[in-house]
Amino acid sequence: MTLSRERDVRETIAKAYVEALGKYALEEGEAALAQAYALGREALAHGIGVLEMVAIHYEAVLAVSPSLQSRPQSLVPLAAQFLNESLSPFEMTMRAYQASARLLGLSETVAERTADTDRARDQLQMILDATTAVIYLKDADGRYVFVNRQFQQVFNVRREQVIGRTDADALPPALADALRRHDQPVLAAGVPGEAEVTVPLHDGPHTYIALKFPLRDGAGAPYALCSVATDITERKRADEALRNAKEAAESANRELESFSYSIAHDLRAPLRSIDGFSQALLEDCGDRLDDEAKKYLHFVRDSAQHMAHLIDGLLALSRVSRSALQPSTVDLSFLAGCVLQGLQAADSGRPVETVIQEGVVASGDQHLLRAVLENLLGNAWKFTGRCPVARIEFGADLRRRPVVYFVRDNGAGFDMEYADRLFGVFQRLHSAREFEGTGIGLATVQRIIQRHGGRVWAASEVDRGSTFYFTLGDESARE
Amino acid sequence: MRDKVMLLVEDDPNDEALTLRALAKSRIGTPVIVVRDGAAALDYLFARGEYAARDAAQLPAVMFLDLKLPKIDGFEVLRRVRADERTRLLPIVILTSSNEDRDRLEGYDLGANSYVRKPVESTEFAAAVGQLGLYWLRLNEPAPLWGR
Repeated sequence: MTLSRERDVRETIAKAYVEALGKYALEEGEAALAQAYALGREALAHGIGVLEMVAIHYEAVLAVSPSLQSRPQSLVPLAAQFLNESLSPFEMTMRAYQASARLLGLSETVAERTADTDRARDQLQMILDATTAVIYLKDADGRYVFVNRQFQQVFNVRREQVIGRTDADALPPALADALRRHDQPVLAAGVPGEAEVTVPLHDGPHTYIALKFPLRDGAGAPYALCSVATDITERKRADEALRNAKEAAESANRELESFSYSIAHDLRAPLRSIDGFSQALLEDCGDRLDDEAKKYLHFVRDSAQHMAHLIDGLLALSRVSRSALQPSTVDLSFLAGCVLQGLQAADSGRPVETVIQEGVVASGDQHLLRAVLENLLGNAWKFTGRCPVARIEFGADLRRRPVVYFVRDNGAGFDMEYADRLFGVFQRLHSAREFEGTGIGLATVQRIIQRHGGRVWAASEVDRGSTFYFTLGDESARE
Repeated sequence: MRDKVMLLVEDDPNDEALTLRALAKSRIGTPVIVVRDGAAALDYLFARGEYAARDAAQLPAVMFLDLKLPKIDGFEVLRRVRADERTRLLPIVILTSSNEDRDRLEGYDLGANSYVRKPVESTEFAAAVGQLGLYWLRLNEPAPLWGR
């Protein structure tokens, strides 16, 4: 269609439109409306657009309105109805367009969905690539369907070297064997499994804990195997280090035990000789020794015996540290009585007033708690040696939690300034000339109390006696 | 009792000398056979090796046995002696430096008749050895080993 013909068509239609609208405005007849519809179709058929049609309409309204002076306001709704009719052919086309647009829209959705799927797959790939786990998928024939980035890094292969191939085709033989050995049963049986897989890598063997499970199709038949493997090499190393450390500690303990055993046997034997032959000299050759020589031999014997006591003390201390606690209910009042009786029997010349609070019962290791009382009451006995009226007391403050037990004496006491040295091995606050001792007893006491989860401390004043207090930790928890 | 002997199994020459001295002082007068390791003790008891000429039926009145011994230790000697019909009732006194609980337990478990820790203090040591000698040679009545 040429431009001039286009204009001709528009003018023809516009002229007819004015005529038809004028008729409709006057008569409001169905025929005029049918004319409007026909004009609309004709315009559409000749390629006149919907906006052009609206323009024709308003031109017609302007042309018609002067002739309608009597009822101009009625023209507006009539004209609207006329326009509606003339545009309805356009509207039907629009509907068709919209329908086709909907169809087009549908295909857009399909495209969108495809894009969604791609995005989801990409996201999954990114997630699987970001994880430190080695992940792969194999089909029922053992051919790789998917491998993640970690797989490529760990096994030093590219994705395209692996996909569609089996282990044997794609990987070094040792590695292929290791993987296939664990995958085969899961593929064959179709049940999930967990395996510890050790694979030879460039920096040595790595251990993975691999979760392997079959993927099933809609009918439930397994069609692929998925493996998710986490590197536990470090954890294994840590475990092994821990195990080694434990073994080393146990071996050190055994060594210590045999060391103690050696001390008991081998250090005591020469002491026996030193003391024994000094005594033999005194007895068998006494007539050839002057008093000076005999005095020196006594010094030798005293030293040998002191050293024997030191060895026994150290052995007792080490025994306290390594023997297992055997907790039971222990009657401390009874034990204290036994210990004091023993001390009295060995030193029958001394009058000592003893006071024992009855019914003091504790929970702990009977033998070790007896050793505590032997040491504390033994000390009390020793350090009251110069008191004219010695008094030794055992008791407990049963209302306190934890219960506080105590051993009190009115003996030599000590300067509290040195109290922190009291429980150290070989630490003594009195010279051997004043009071003999090994300096191991209180260290042993502290070790025992600590093993019971308790605390030991002392209060004292020179020449006014000492009180040793101890607790046994949470006794109710031990029972 | 005249033909009886004591068997002392002791590898430390000083301990041997002190033990013999203490026995001499106690005036028991019984001859003491000294062997210096576990293998020699078994050879003596079963009349083997160096002691092949000996009459195996003549058992000592008592064996003083140290635990820590060269070649075969005291526990193993004890085990083999108790396992043999000829010697299973032989009086055996463990005489040792150790007073470890497990040693005492094992000693008695294996059938020792007595367990004595050698005191370091020489008068105590002499007294202990003397008392042991008197007890096992004068006071104790052994089982009738060959009378059945």
